[in-house]
Amino acid sequence: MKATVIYQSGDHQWIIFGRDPDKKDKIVDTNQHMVMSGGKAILLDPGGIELFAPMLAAVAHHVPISNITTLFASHQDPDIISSLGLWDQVLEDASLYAPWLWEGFIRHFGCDKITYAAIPDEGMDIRIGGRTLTFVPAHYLHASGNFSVYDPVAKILMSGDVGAALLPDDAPMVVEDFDDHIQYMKAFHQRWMPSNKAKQVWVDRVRQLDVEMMSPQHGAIFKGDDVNRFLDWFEALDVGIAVS
Amino acid sequence: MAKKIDLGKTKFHLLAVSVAADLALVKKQGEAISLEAMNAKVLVARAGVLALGFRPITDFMVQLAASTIRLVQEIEKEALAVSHHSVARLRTSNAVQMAEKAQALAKDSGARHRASIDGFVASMLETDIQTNENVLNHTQKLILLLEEIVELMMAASAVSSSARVESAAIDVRFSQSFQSVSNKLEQCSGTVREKVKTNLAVLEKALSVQRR
Ligand SMILES: [Fe+2]
Ligand SMILES: [Fe+2]
Repeated sequence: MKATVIYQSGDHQWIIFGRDPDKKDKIVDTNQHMVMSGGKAILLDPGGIELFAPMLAAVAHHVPISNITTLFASHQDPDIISSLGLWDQVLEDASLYAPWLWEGFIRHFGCDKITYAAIPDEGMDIRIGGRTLTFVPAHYLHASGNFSVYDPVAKILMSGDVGAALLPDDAPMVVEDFDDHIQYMKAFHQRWMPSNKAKQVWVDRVRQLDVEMMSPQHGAIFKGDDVNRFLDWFEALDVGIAVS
Repeated sequence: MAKKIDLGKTKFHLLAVSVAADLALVKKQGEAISLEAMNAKVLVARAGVLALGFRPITDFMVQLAASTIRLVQEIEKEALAVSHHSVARLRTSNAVQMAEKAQALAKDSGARHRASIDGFVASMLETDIQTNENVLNHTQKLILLLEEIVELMMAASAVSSSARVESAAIDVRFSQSFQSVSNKLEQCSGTVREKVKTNLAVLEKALSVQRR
């Protein structure tokens, strides 16, 4: 599993784990994010069962496993959080922040030792070490209870499935040519994002944030001007129309 | 470090469920015995002094039916416990396998904090062994309950023999009816023993494989 440090300032770090070369063919490639600060770490969308072992090994390159105090699931999908039952047997005193709406469902993955911390619809802030992360509502994008994660100091937005692209295996971690990148994300957004209204609410909300990097759960990172390019493109895209 | 055990030999959760399903038939036989006992009681009442020797036999049949049904209920509960613990074991051993895979990957790639994985793999193995013990203990209890049913049915078979002797001595007007009750008791006992013994053999074999 490849690890890419996308932000570092002192002990405040953002790392993306992904592009696993041993991943089975029919499993969609995912980006797992880890944010560290003050000897604590949070895993954002820690991924599926299949990825658990390589993830654990990859994380051990950066922090002792016991430093992982928190997990976050943007929504209930298996590629997001089906590894929960395994983390549950590994982590002591950890919490999972996830939409309140999905608690009864996500618990089916196994959640005995880990505390389920339900995120209210309006979102919330949490502290990881010396830093604050904000769970930004992204409901219906694509799940009915869904959040993005914003770090106001690193100016990174982890956007979950928004901005996702289904890329070839060797694709770079950062979008290099936005126009060329559209082909990898257009059909995904038209099919998976069900509501133009929800999309507009999220775009308006994100426009108010200072975002230097937008990092989705699949595909590549949008940096600098490409963040706004994405927001403009997404705003103009008619979604929820891929099948009639 | 905890002793490594071979994972995933017997699927006890599937085994226990199939034992419980199989024993639905035993419960039916218990109910059949109960019905025959009622039948015999009516006969005894009608025959009066002519069938005095048969009265303790009907009493035994009532008791036997009740014990069989109670045992089957206990077996159902125990089978559910085996199944429950076995599924828990499936999860713990799966987690151990995954964690060991991570341990190897971290070692091969020289992960700085790989020692932090070693610590919890050891404790996960302990949990896994404990979960496995739970499966084995409940399977052992299940086996004891099945053996109890076999013993009960042996007694039933002995009683049906004396019932046959007794029926032969009864007044000819009732003899055939009592004969038929005795035969049915023997039949039920045979069917149950056969069913239970098959299941016992499967469970005992699974248990010995898992213990080895
Ligand atoms: Fe999703
Ligand atoms: Fe996804």
